[in-house]
Amino acid sequence: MVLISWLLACAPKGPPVAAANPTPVDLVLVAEDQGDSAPRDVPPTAATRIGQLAADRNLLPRPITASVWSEAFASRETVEQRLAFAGAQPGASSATVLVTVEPGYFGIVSGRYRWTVDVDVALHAPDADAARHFQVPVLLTWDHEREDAAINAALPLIAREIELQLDRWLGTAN
Amino acid sequence: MIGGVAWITAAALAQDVSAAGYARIMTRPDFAGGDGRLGYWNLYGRLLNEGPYAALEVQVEALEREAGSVRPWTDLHLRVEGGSVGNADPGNGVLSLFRLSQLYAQAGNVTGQAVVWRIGTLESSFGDLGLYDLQPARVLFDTVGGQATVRTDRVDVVVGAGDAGYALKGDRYNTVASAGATARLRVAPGHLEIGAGGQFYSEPQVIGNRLAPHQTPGLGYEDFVRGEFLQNYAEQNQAPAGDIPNPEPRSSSSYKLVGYLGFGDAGPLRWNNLFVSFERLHPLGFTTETFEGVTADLYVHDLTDQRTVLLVGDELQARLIPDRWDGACGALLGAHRDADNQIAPSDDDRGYASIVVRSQIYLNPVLHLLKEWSYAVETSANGNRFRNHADSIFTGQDGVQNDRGLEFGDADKRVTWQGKAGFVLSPLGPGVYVRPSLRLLYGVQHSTENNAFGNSFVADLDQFNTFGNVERHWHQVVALEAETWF
Repeated sequence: MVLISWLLACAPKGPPVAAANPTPVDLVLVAEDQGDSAPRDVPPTAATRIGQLAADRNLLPRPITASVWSEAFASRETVEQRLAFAGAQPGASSATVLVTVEPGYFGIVSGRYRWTVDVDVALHAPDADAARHFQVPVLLTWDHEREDAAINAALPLIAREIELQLDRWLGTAN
Repeated sequence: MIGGVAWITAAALAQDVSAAGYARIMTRPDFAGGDGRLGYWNLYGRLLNEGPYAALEVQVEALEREAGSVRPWTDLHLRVEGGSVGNADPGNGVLSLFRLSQLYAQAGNVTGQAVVWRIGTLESSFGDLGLYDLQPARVLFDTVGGQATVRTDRVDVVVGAGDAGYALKGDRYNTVASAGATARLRVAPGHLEIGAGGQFYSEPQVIGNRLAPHQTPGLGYEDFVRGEFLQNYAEQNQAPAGDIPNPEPRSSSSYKLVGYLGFGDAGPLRWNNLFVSFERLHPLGFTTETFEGVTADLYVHDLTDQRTVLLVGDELQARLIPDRWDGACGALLGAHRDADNQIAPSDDDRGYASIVVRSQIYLNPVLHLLKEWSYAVETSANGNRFRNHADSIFTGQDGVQNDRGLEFGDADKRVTWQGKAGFVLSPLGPGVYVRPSLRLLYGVQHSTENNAFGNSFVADLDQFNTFGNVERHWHQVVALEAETWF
């Protein structure tokens, strides 16, 4: 049975997402915590995953880190303000993906730690603008899993929205 | 219920409202005549041993928590839950099987950022044994009152107090003062943490209150168990039926102590939770007996004040091959003792030990192969309690028929193992506890006890029992299930 389990575990996964046109794109990935802390970078797992989504489409991801925008974003709270700030930076790409995540603790629900992650995904490009706000319910297993774990758990749905916006943009551009 | 819906609707129109919950539904056609559950209870793993369930919790944010802000916030939580769904169980989803189990208001950033105040139903838990659906290290869950939670980077402290009278005594309510606290220390955050806590209950004597703790003088344990005190007292004292000594007032107290050790994020080990709890159960109030048309309340404080429960539970999750194969393993040990009872098997005089192992292989991100195996031993500390054979109705005291015997069946031990396997559709990807989960499962059980699953068999050997008894130690079900948190 153990051998069968190992063989099944090594079965091939499905094919990767297809690629599109190669274009530089700035990635501004913001995590905001409840309390008085400043906006910060999303956890590395999320940054890597989102960067890979862009790379899979032959885009050239350029992560813009919190050292550039953390202080400015404390007073620029809307998507429009933040996109404008990112686009005004020296050497900015013509396309920007802005992802803002705000995890909040809900409570214990049937033995699981229920979090809600508020998400804004926005894309600004010369021939496309898109923005969507949505919430992702997250159930974590352990108490020590906090904000970063909630963001990582919400990644599949965040990634879907980013993929959707990128594919619409690249489909139009192509 | 209608009022609740109206309240939620009104609140939703006026405030920022969000909802969370949990639901599971299944069909398990059982051609062996059972009720669709593989075994008696979740000691053998909750999978295939639990019925349908639904919970809905609404959060109304009167003052929303804001990112990057220390402005005060407040919210209200309301939870309705119950174990019945239309067409899925005998209750058919009637709302009378649901209850408003949680209602509390919270406020934060009013006395410092680290403190959250809570008024209403309370709770503090160190975590969950997911394989068993148990929370051994939980306190204050039976209390309505006030609670303060302080959370810092290294230490969490919860202190609460209130009244547990309705939870412990129901419609025989008497105030039971309750106070509890827990502390969790993150020794190495994300790798090692420890915790401890406790809860104390006090129910002082109240002269003149029939619902306060009392003891009926002369009431012995055997008369209490057999329900023959009125008869024996009348015969022994040549007294009229129901002419028994007046109850004597008592004070009741009880407590629960909990401990916790958590560690993980090392190699393939994701996390391991070890919980310990020791509880002295709260003494019971009274029972009623009827003899020769006379009904009397018999107070049993002294006969129920030495019941203890020791629980030790552990569960670990391991990532055996990342994104390919996860495993989970749980163990549960329980020892229930009742120093007042030396004559009759009962839920208060038993022990059990169980192990559950689950393997989940990800054939692709959404299609998983699930396997689970469990082995459990249950023992009775006061004699036989389990019927091992179809004709066990003839056996009782020391394995022989005894119409006056307090034992039941022909064994003081039940050994049960279960094996479960099937396919899981998990749209949100890999993970043992990732939901929603749509499952097609097969389960098989073997138990030393005959017909060890929920059923409505006629379990006697009366000559007029035209259905007969069947020797059956194997049980199997096929299940289609859906489960989700949201």
